[in-house]
Amino acid sequence: MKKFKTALIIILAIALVIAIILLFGGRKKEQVVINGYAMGSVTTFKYFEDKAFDLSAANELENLISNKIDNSEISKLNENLTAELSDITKEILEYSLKVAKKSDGAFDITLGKLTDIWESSALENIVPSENILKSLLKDTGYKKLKIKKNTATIEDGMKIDLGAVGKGAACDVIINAARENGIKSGIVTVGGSVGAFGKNPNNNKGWTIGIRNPDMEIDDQTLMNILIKDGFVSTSGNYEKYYEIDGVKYHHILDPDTGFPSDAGLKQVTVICDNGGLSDALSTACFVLGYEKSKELLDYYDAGGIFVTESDKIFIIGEGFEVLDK
Amino acid sequence: MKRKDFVIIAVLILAALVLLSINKTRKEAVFCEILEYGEIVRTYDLSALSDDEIIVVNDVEILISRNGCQVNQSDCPDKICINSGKISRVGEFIYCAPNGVLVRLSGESEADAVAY
Repeated sequence: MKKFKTALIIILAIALVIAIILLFGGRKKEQVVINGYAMGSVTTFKYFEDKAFDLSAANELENLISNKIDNSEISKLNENLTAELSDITKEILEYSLKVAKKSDGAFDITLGKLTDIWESSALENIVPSENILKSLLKDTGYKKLKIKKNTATIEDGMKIDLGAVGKGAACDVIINAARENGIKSGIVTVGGSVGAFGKNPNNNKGWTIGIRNPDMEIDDQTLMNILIKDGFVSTSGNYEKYYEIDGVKYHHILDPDTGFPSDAGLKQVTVICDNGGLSDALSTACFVLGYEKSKELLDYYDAGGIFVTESDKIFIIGEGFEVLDK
Repeated sequence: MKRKDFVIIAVLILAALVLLSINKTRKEAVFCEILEYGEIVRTYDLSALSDDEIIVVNDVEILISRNGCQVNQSDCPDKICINSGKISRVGEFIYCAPNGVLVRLSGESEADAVAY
Protein backbone atom coordinates (compact mmCIF):
# COMPACT_ATOMS: atom_id res chain seq x y z
CA MET A 1 0.00 0.00 0.00
CA LYS A 2 2.82 2.32 0.86
CA LYS A 3 4.45 1.58 -2.51
CA PHE A 4 1.19 2.36 -4.28
CA LYS A 5 0.93 5.63 -2.41
CA THR A 6 4.49 6.64 -3.30
CA ALA A 7 3.92 5.75 -6.94
CA LEU A 8 0.71 7.78 -7.03
CA ILE A 9 2.41 10.84 -5.59
CA ILE A 10 5.28 10.49 -8.10
CA ILE A 11 2.81 10.23 -11.02
CA LEU A 12 0.91 13.27 -9.84
CA ALA A 13 4.12 15.22 -9.32
CA ILE A 14 5.12 14.39 -12.92
CA ALA A 15 1.66 15.54 -14.11
CA LEU A 16 2.21 18.80 -12.27
CA VAL A 17 5.59 19.31 -13.92
CA ILE A 18 4.08 18.59 -17.36
CA ALA A 19 1.34 21.12 -16.69
CA ILE A 20 3.93 23.73 -15.71
CA ILE A 21 5.97 22.98 -18.86
CA LEU A 22 2.81 23.28 -21.01
CA LEU A 23 2.02 26.60 -19.43
CA PHE A 24 5.42 28.25 -19.52
CA GLY A 25 7.46 26.22 -22.01
CA GLY A 26 5.45 27.29 -25.06
CA ARG A 27 6.09 30.95 -24.47
CA LYS A 28 7.97 32.67 -27.20
CA LYS A 29 11.30 34.30 -26.59
CA GLU A 30 10.87 38.00 -25.99
CA GLN A 31 11.29 39.86 -29.26
CA VAL A 32 12.09 43.45 -30.03
CA VAL A 33 10.10 44.93 -32.91
CA ILE A 34 11.13 48.19 -34.51
CA ASN A 35 9.35 50.00 -37.31
CA GLY A 36 10.36 52.53 -39.89
CA TYR A 37 9.40 53.80 -43.30
CA ALA A 38 11.63 53.40 -46.35
CA MET A 39 11.31 52.76 -50.10
CA GLY A 40 7.68 53.90 -49.91
CA SER A 41 6.90 51.07 -47.50
CA VAL A 42 6.57 50.22 -43.87
CA THR A 43 9.74 48.58 -42.60
CA THR A 44 9.75 46.18 -39.66
CA PHE A 45 12.63 44.40 -37.97
CA LYS A 46 12.22 41.77 -35.26
CA TYR A 47 15.15 40.58 -33.20
CA PHE A 48 15.72 38.93 -29.86
CA GLU A 49 18.52 40.73 -28.06
CA ASP A 50 18.66 43.59 -25.63
CA LYS A 51 20.51 45.89 -28.01
CA ALA A 52 19.66 49.28 -29.42
CA PHE A 53 19.20 49.29 -33.19
CA ASP A 54 17.46 51.41 -35.80
CA LEU A 55 16.50 51.13 -39.43
CA SER A 56 18.36 54.20 -40.69
CA ALA A 57 20.44 52.01 -43.04
CA ALA A 58 17.33 51.61 -45.22
CA ASN A 59 16.76 55.37 -45.38
CA GLU A 60 20.43 55.98 -46.17
CA LEU A 61 20.14 53.49 -49.05
CA GLU A 62 16.95 55.17 -50.26
CA ASN A 63 18.79 58.52 -50.33
CA LEU A 64 21.32 56.95 -52.68
CA ILE A 65 19.18 54.88 -55.05
CA SER A 66 15.69 56.42 -55.21
CA ASN A 67 14.89 58.31 -58.41
CA LYS A 68 12.21 60.15 -56.45
CA ILE A 69 14.75 61.81 -54.15
CA ASP A 70 16.59 64.83 -55.55
CA ASN A 71 20.35 64.50 -55.40
CA SER A 72 20.32 60.73 -54.98
CA GLU A 73 23.01 59.09 -57.08
CA ILE A 74 20.35 57.69 -59.40
CA SER A 75 18.65 61.10 -59.75
CA LYS A 76 22.00 62.64 -60.62
CA LEU A 77 22.59 59.89 -63.17
CA ASN A 78 19.17 60.50 -64.74
CA GLU A 79 19.74 64.25 -64.85
CA ASN A 80 23.38 64.48 -65.92
CA LEU A 81 23.58 61.16 -67.83
CA THR A 82 26.63 60.34 -65.73
CA ALA A 83 27.26 60.00 -62.00
CA GLU A 84 29.78 58.80 -59.48
CA LEU A 85 28.44 55.84 -57.56
CA SER A 86 28.97 54.63 -54.05
CA ASP A 87 29.97 50.96 -53.77
CA ILE A 88 26.48 49.90 -52.70
CA THR A 89 24.71 51.66 -55.61
CA LYS A 90 27.27 50.21 -58.00
CA GLU A 91 26.69 46.72 -56.62
CA ILE A 92 22.90 47.06 -56.99
CA LEU A 93 23.21 48.36 -60.56
CA GLU A 94 25.60 45.56 -61.44
CA TYR A 95 23.45 42.69 -60.20
CA SER A 96 20.40 44.35 -61.78
CA LEU A 97 22.24 44.44 -65.13
CA LYS A 98 23.24 40.82 -64.71
CA VAL A 99 19.63 39.73 -64.08
CA ALA A 100 18.63 41.83 -67.12
CA LYS A 101 21.19 39.99 -69.23
CA LYS A 102 20.37 36.53 -67.87
CA SER A 103 16.64 37.12 -68.42
CA ASP A 104 17.15 38.43 -71.97
CA GLY A 105 15.89 41.84 -70.94
CA ALA A 106 12.71 40.66 -69.19
CA PHE A 107 14.01 42.55 -66.17
CA ASP A 108 15.03 46.08 -67.05
CA ILE A 109 15.82 49.03 -64.75
CA THR A 110 15.77 51.53 -67.62
CA LEU A 111 11.98 51.77 -67.90
CA GLY A 112 11.65 54.88 -65.71
CA LYS A 113 9.94 56.98 -68.36
CA LEU A 114 7.41 54.25 -69.10
CA THR A 115 6.48 54.00 -65.45
CA ASP A 116 6.10 57.80 -65.39
CA ILE A 117 3.75 57.81 -68.39
CA TRP A 118 1.57 55.07 -66.85
CA GLU A 119 1.38 57.02 -63.59
CA SER A 120 0.48 60.33 -65.25
CA SER A 121 -1.96 58.72 -67.71
CA ALA A 122 -3.74 56.91 -64.87
CA LEU A 123 -4.29 60.26 -63.14
CA GLU A 124 -5.97 61.52 -66.34
CA ASN A 125 -7.89 58.22 -66.62
CA ILE A 126 -6.45 57.32 -70.03
CA VAL A 127 -4.43 54.34 -71.23
CA PRO A 128 -1.14 55.44 -72.84
CA SER A 129 -1.29 54.89 -76.59
CA GLU A 130 0.81 52.25 -78.27
CA ASN A 131 2.58 54.98 -80.25
CA ILE A 132 3.60 56.88 -77.13
CA LEU A 133 4.86 53.69 -75.50
CA LYS A 134 6.76 52.73 -78.66
CA SER A 135 8.47 56.09 -78.85
CA LEU A 136 9.45 55.90 -75.17
CA LEU A 137 10.75 52.36 -75.61
CA LYS A 138 13.42 53.71 -77.98
CA ASP A 139 15.11 55.29 -74.98
CA THR A 140 15.17 52.13 -72.87
CA GLY A 141 17.44 49.12 -72.82
CA TYR A 142 19.75 47.88 -70.11
CA LYS A 143 22.66 47.60 -72.55
CA LYS A 144 22.77 51.38 -72.77
CA LEU A 145 23.68 51.67 -69.10
CA LYS A 146 27.45 51.43 -68.72
CA ILE A 147 29.45 51.17 -65.52
CA LYS A 148 33.20 51.75 -65.46
CA LYS A 149 34.87 51.61 -62.08
CA ASN A 150 32.49 53.74 -60.00
CA THR A 151 31.14 55.88 -62.84
CA ALA A 152 27.84 55.11 -64.51
CA THR A 153 26.64 56.59 -67.80
CA ILE A 154 23.32 56.40 -69.60
CA GLU A 155 22.05 57.70 -72.93
CA ASP A 156 20.03 60.85 -73.42
CA GLY A 157 16.31 60.34 -72.79
CA MET A 158 16.81 57.36 -70.51
CA LYS A 159 15.61 57.07 -66.91
CA ILE A 160 16.86 54.53 -64.40
CA ASP A 161 14.30 53.28 -61.87
CA LEU A 162 15.41 50.89 -59.12
CA GLY A 163 11.90 50.54 -57.72
CA ALA A 164 11.88 46.82 -58.56
CA VAL A 165 14.87 46.08 -56.32
CA GLY A 166 14.70 48.81 -53.65
CA LYS A 167 12.75 46.89 -51.00
CA GLY A 168 14.88 43.77 -51.22
CA ALA A 169 18.08 45.84 -51.25
CA ALA A 170 16.82 47.61 -48.11
CA CYS A 171 16.38 44.17 -46.45
CA ASP A 172 20.04 43.48 -47.31
CA VAL A 173 21.38 46.67 -45.73
CA ILE A 174 19.26 46.29 -42.59
CA ILE A 175 20.51 42.73 -42.04
CA ASN A 176 24.11 43.79 -42.69
CA ALA A 177 23.75 46.66 -40.22
CA ALA A 178 22.21 44.33 -37.63
CA ARG A 179 25.09 41.87 -37.98
CA GLU A 180 27.60 44.72 -37.63
CA ASN A 181 25.80 45.70 -34.42
CA GLY A 182 26.30 42.21 -33.02
CA ILE A 183 22.68 41.10 -33.48
CA LYS A 184 22.76 37.36 -34.08
CA SER A 185 19.36 36.71 -35.62
CA GLY A 186 16.29 38.51 -36.84
CA ILE A 187 13.71 38.97 -39.56
CA VAL A 188 13.12 42.10 -41.63
CA THR A 189 10.27 43.14 -43.89
CA VAL A 190 10.31 46.12 -46.23
CA GLY A 191 6.82 46.22 -47.69
CA GLY A 192 6.33 42.66 -48.92
CA SER A 193 10.02 41.76 -49.23
CA VAL A 194 11.34 39.60 -46.41
CA GLY A 195 14.83 38.73 -45.16
CA ALA A 196 15.80 36.45 -42.28
CA PHE A 197 19.16 35.59 -40.77
CA GLY A 198 20.60 33.56 -37.92
CA LYS A 199 18.81 31.03 -35.76
CA ASN A 200 15.16 31.65 -34.99
CA PRO A 201 15.05 31.34 -31.16
CA ASN A 202 11.38 30.30 -31.34
CA ASN A 203 11.78 27.56 -33.94
CA ASN A 204 14.98 25.61 -34.40
CA LYS A 205 13.83 24.54 -37.87
CA GLY A 206 13.97 28.10 -39.20
CA TRP A 207 11.70 31.00 -40.10
CA THR A 208 8.12 30.62 -41.26
CA ILE A 209 7.21 32.95 -44.12
CA GLY A 210 3.63 33.26 -45.31
CA ILE A 211 3.10 33.77 -49.03
CA ARG A 212 0.17 36.04 -49.76
CA ASN A 213 -2.81 34.56 -51.53
CA PRO A 214 -2.97 36.50 -54.82
CA ASP A 215 -6.78 36.28 -54.93
CA MET A 216 -7.33 37.89 -51.55
CA GLU A 217 -7.61 41.59 -50.94
CA ILE A 218 -5.37 41.65 -47.91
CA ASP A 219 -1.77 40.75 -47.36
CA ASP A 220 -2.15 38.38 -44.41
CA GLN A 221 -4.37 35.96 -46.32
CA THR A 222 -1.74 33.42 -47.15
CA LEU A 223 -1.61 30.86 -49.90
CA MET A 224 0.92 28.75 -48.02
CA ASN A 225 3.65 28.95 -45.44
CA ILE A 226 7.24 28.14 -46.26
CA LEU A 227 10.18 27.49 -43.98
CA ILE A 228 13.61 28.96 -44.67
CA LYS A 229 16.82 28.68 -42.66
CA ASP A 230 18.34 31.93 -43.80
CA GLY A 231 17.65 34.05 -46.84
CA PHE A 232 15.30 36.36 -48.65
CA VAL A 233 11.79 36.01 -50.04
CA SER A 234 10.31 38.38 -52.63
CA THR A 235 6.96 38.25 -54.33
CA SER A 236 5.75 39.94 -57.51
CA GLY A 237 2.05 39.94 -58.24
CA ASN A 238 -0.55 41.59 -60.42
CA TYR A 239 -2.38 42.83 -57.29
CA GLU A 240 0.35 44.71 -55.44
CA LYS A 241 0.31 47.97 -57.36
CA TYR A 242 -1.89 48.83 -60.29
CA TYR A 243 -3.32 51.72 -62.22
CA GLU A 244 -7.09 51.81 -62.49
CA ILE A 245 -8.12 53.41 -65.77
CA ASP A 246 -11.78 53.49 -66.79
CA GLY A 247 -12.53 50.76 -64.29
CA VAL A 248 -9.85 48.41 -65.70
CA LYS A 249 -6.87 47.46 -63.57
CA TYR A 250 -3.43 47.63 -65.20
CA HIS A 251 -0.75 46.15 -62.97
CA HIS A 252 2.60 47.88 -62.61
CA ILE A 253 5.04 45.25 -63.90
CA LEU A 254 5.75 46.37 -67.44
CA ASP A 255 6.94 44.20 -70.28
CA PRO A 256 10.14 45.85 -71.57
CA ASP A 257 9.23 44.73 -75.11
CA THR A 258 5.81 46.34 -75.33
CA GLY A 259 5.62 48.92 -72.51
CA PHE A 260 2.30 47.39 -71.47
CA PRO A 261 1.74 45.39 -68.26
CA SER A 262 3.37 42.01 -68.76
CA ASP A 263 1.08 39.16 -69.70
CA ALA A 264 2.93 35.89 -69.18
CA GLY A 265 0.04 33.98 -67.64
CA LEU A 266 1.00 34.48 -64.00
CA LYS A 267 -0.79 35.96 -61.03
CA GLN A 268 2.16 35.79 -58.72
CA VAL A 269 5.77 34.70 -58.45
CA THR A 270 7.72 34.24 -55.23
CA VAL A 271 11.49 33.88 -55.29
CA ILE A 272 13.67 32.63 -52.46
CA CYS A 273 17.42 33.28 -52.63
CA ASP A 274 20.43 34.47 -50.64
CA ASN A 275 20.28 38.18 -51.53
CA GLY A 276 17.32 40.54 -51.04
CA GLY A 277 17.83 42.86 -54.00
CA LEU A 278 18.48 39.88 -56.21
CA SER A 279 15.35 38.05 -55.07
CA ASP A 280 13.32 41.20 -55.86
CA ALA A 281 14.89 41.44 -59.33
CA LEU A 282 14.36 37.74 -60.01
CA SER A 283 10.72 37.76 -58.96
CA THR A 284 10.04 40.64 -61.38
CA ALA A 285 12.02 38.90 -64.15
CA CYS A 286 10.10 35.64 -63.63
CA PHE A 287 6.75 37.44 -63.62
CA VAL A 288 7.58 38.87 -67.07
CA LEU A 289 9.14 35.64 -68.38
CA GLY A 290 6.38 33.25 -67.32
CA TYR A 291 6.90 29.89 -65.63
CA GLU A 292 8.64 27.85 -68.34
CA LYS A 293 11.26 30.45 -69.24
CA SER A 294 11.98 31.23 -65.58
CA LYS A 295 13.29 27.77 -64.71
CA GLU A 296 16.71 28.30 -66.26
CA LEU A 297 17.10 31.73 -64.68
CA LEU A 298 16.30 30.49 -61.17
CA ASP A 299 18.53 27.48 -61.68
CA TYR A 300 21.44 29.76 -62.60
CA TYR A 301 21.01 31.72 -59.37
CA ASP A 302 20.33 28.61 -57.22
CA ALA A 303 17.06 30.27 -56.29
CA GLY A 304 13.70 28.73 -55.41
CA GLY A 305 10.42 29.78 -56.96
CA ILE A 306 6.68 29.46 -56.34
CA PHE A 307 4.54 30.31 -59.35
CA VAL A 308 0.78 30.85 -59.36
CA THR A 309 -0.68 30.87 -62.86
CA GLU A 310 -3.80 32.68 -64.00
CA SER A 311 -5.56 29.32 -64.08
CA ASP A 312 -4.58 28.82 -60.40
CA LYS A 313 -1.97 26.14 -60.99
CA ILE A 314 0.91 26.26 -58.53
CA PHE A 315 4.44 25.28 -59.56
CA ILE A 316 7.17 24.96 -56.98
CA ILE A 317 10.80 24.71 -58.10
CA GLY A 318 14.29 24.93 -56.66
CA GLU A 319 15.74 24.49 -53.22
CA GLY A 320 16.45 26.51 -50.11
CA PHE A 321 12.96 26.29 -48.64
CA GLU A 322 10.37 23.84 -47.45
CA VAL A 323 6.64 24.15 -48.10
CA LEU A 324 4.85 23.70 -44.77
CA ASP A 325 1.24 23.71 -45.91
CA LYS A 326 -0.97 24.64 -48.77
CA MET B 1 -3.66 5.80 3.08
CA LYS B 2 -3.69 8.39 5.75
CA ARG B 3 -5.65 11.57 5.59
CA LYS B 4 -2.46 13.56 5.04
CA ASP B 5 -1.76 11.55 1.88
CA PHE B 6 -5.19 12.34 0.45
CA VAL B 7 -4.53 16.01 1.04
CA ILE B 8 -1.20 15.87 -0.81
CA ILE B 9 -2.78 13.99 -3.74
CA ALA B 10 -5.75 16.36 -3.88
CA VAL B 11 -3.47 19.41 -3.87
CA LEU B 12 -1.36 17.96 -6.70
CA ILE B 13 -4.42 17.14 -8.85
CA LEU B 14 -5.91 20.56 -8.23
CA ALA B 15 -2.65 22.34 -9.08
CA ALA B 16 -2.28 20.41 -12.35
CA LEU B 17 -5.90 21.07 -13.34
CA VAL B 18 -5.69 24.77 -12.54
CA LEU B 19 -2.49 25.20 -14.55
CA LEU B 20 -3.91 23.30 -17.54
CA SER B 21 -7.11 25.31 -17.51
CA ILE B 22 -5.12 28.57 -17.46
CA ASN B 23 -3.18 27.31 -20.46
CA LYS B 24 -6.37 26.46 -22.35
CA THR B 25 -8.21 29.66 -21.68
CA ARG B 26 -5.33 32.03 -22.37
CA LYS B 27 -6.49 34.14 -25.29
CA GLU B 28 -4.23 35.41 -28.00
CA ALA B 29 -4.38 39.16 -27.74
CA VAL B 30 -4.92 41.34 -30.78
CA PHE B 31 -3.28 44.73 -30.67
CA CYS B 32 -4.16 47.74 -32.76
CA GLU B 33 -1.07 49.79 -33.48
CA ILE B 34 -1.27 53.28 -34.91
CA LEU B 35 1.84 54.57 -36.65
CA GLU B 36 2.56 58.09 -37.79
CA TYR B 37 5.32 58.19 -40.41
CA GLY B 38 6.60 54.82 -39.26
CA GLU B 39 6.62 55.59 -35.53
CA ILE B 40 4.14 53.82 -33.27
CA VAL B 41 2.12 56.55 -31.56
CA ARG B 42 -0.60 54.46 -29.85
CA THR B 43 -1.20 50.80 -29.10
CA TYR B 44 -4.52 49.30 -27.95
CA ASP B 45 -5.18 45.80 -26.65
CA LEU B 46 -8.51 45.20 -28.40
CA SER B 47 -9.61 42.37 -26.13
CA ALA B 48 -9.12 44.62 -23.09
CA LEU B 49 -11.15 47.48 -24.58
CA SER B 50 -14.42 48.11 -22.75
CA ASP B 51 -15.86 50.91 -24.91
CA ASP B 52 -15.22 52.05 -28.46
CA GLU B 53 -12.62 54.74 -28.71
CA ILE B 54 -12.09 57.43 -31.31
CA ILE B 55 -8.65 58.89 -31.81
CA VAL B 56 -7.46 61.54 -34.28
CA VAL B 57 -3.90 61.16 -35.56
CA ASN B 58 -2.64 63.69 -38.10
CA ASP B 59 -6.18 64.58 -39.27
CA VAL B 60 -7.17 60.92 -39.58
CA GLU B 61 -10.08 59.91 -37.32
CA ILE B 62 -9.82 56.27 -36.31
CA LEU B 63 -12.50 54.19 -34.57
CA ILE B 64 -11.12 51.46 -32.33
CA SER B 65 -13.50 48.81 -31.07
CA ARG B 66 -13.26 45.31 -29.61
CA ASN B 67 -13.94 43.72 -32.98
CA GLY B 68 -11.79 45.88 -35.22
CA CYS B 69 -10.65 49.30 -36.38
CA GLN B 70 -11.64 51.65 -39.17
CA VAL B 71 -10.94 55.13 -40.43
CA ASN B 72 -14.03 57.31 -40.03
CA GLN B 73 -12.74 60.54 -41.48
CA SER B 74 -9.64 61.88 -43.18
CA ASP B 75 -8.75 65.05 -45.04
CA CYS B 76 -6.79 63.13 -47.69
CA PRO B 77 -7.86 63.54 -51.34
CA ASP B 78 -8.38 59.90 -52.35
CA LYS B 79 -10.08 58.50 -49.18
CA ILE B 80 -8.51 55.09 -49.76
CA CYS B 81 -8.14 54.74 -45.99
CA ILE B 82 -11.88 55.27 -45.40
CA ASN B 83 -12.79 52.95 -48.26
CA SER B 84 -10.56 50.22 -46.78
CA GLY B 85 -13.39 49.62 -44.33
CA LYS B 86 -12.97 47.77 -41.08
CA ILE B 87 -9.97 45.58 -40.29
CA SER B 88 -10.43 42.78 -37.80
CA ARG B 89 -7.68 40.20 -38.24
CA VAL B 90 -4.02 40.07 -37.32
CA GLY B 91 -1.90 41.33 -40.20
CA GLU B 92 -4.55 43.57 -41.74
CA PHE B 93 -3.83 47.25 -42.02
CA ILE B 94 -5.22 50.55 -43.26
CA TYR B 95 -2.78 53.04 -44.69
CA CYS B 96 -3.44 56.74 -45.31
CA ALA B 97 -0.42 57.66 -47.44
CA PRO B 98 -1.07 61.43 -47.70
CA ASN B 99 -1.16 61.72 -43.90
CA GLY B 100 1.48 59.07 -43.21
CA VAL B 101 -0.86 57.17 -40.87
CA LEU B 102 -0.89 53.40 -40.63
CA VAL B 103 -3.42 51.45 -38.54
CA ARG B 104 -2.57 47.78 -38.20
CA LEU B 105 -3.56 44.76 -36.18
CA SER B 106 -0.78 42.70 -34.70
CA GLY B 107 -0.60 39.69 -32.48
CA GLU B 108 0.47 36.10 -32.45
CA SER B 109 0.64 34.69 -35.95
CA GLU B 110 1.84 31.36 -37.25
CA ALA B 111 4.19 32.99 -39.74
CA ASP B 112 7.16 35.15 -38.74
CA ALA B 113 6.51 37.39 -41.75
CA VAL B 114 4.38 37.54 -44.89
CA ALA B 115 5.80 38.08 -48.38
CA TYR B 116 3.47 39.90 -50.77
